[in-house]
Amino acid sequence: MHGRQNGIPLSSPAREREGEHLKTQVLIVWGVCKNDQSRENDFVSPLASPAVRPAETEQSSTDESVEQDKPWIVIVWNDPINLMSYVTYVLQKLFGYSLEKATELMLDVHHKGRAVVSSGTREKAEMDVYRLHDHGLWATLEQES
Amino acid sequence: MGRRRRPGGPIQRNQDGQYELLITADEREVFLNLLEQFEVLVTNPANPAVRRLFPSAYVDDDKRNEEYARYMHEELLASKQAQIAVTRGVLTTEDPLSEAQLVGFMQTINALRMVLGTLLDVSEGDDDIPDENEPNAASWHLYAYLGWLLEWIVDELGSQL
Repeated sequence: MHGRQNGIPLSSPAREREGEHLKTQVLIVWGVCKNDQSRENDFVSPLASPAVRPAETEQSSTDESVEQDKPWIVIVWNDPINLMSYVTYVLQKLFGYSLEKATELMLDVHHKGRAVVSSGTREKAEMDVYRLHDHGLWATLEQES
Repeated sequence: MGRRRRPGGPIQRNQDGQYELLITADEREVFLNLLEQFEVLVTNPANPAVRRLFPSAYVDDDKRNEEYARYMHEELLASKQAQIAVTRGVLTTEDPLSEAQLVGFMQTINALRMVLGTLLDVSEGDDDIPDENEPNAASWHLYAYLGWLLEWIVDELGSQL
């Protein structure tokens, strides 16, 4: 996750209102996107990283009713792009967490690679994942082991 | 613990509870240009540049991921397109913004950062803009600018929670 100490914005010429400077950059930026097909296979999910990959969820094949009773958990994963302040805000907004709780979860994501942010039925967990995806966070659901 | 609001930013809440967006005409023009291209780009979830906006929901379950994609990707795309429409309205008015407008603008900025960050292959701790002679220096400037604006919006919206 991308953070800034004490919430102080980056010191960047771009933030000095260099509108003309920015204007010349637009086509350059999207030019990379449109032309660089070599990146097609470069995308690697953080989920593939052994450091953050969760343990396999054990599936019971003998007692489906017990299996169905197990709650589903929603996990937010660390990524290098989302701002720490933004992640905290989204967790507060979507789940009603206090600033303290949301900050604690955000720091878990940042330092431990993941944090469980909600749980419930599969339908609820999937909807929570959707809402997190809609806000640009990397989230998955899995049944609690 | 409370959010500490900082005065003097590009987003300011007025006495009516609405928000003033204090960016220049040039910045608005840059945004509108980006928006036009992003609107096309986002309709192709298979493009690696936007794949980050349409993540999988299950770690090890292809069947459920396919099901999730079948039902939710369309919803995600519709939501992105609605946010783009809101953002276009935000950038073409001088009127104060509602909270809903500012939230839509914020989500679009974050999505644009996702795309740019993916293209730039941003990694943890990438806070420094490369040398001006680097081929991607301009993109890094834009990425930093979007992060700066997003930080201010989050600061302002977060202070109202």
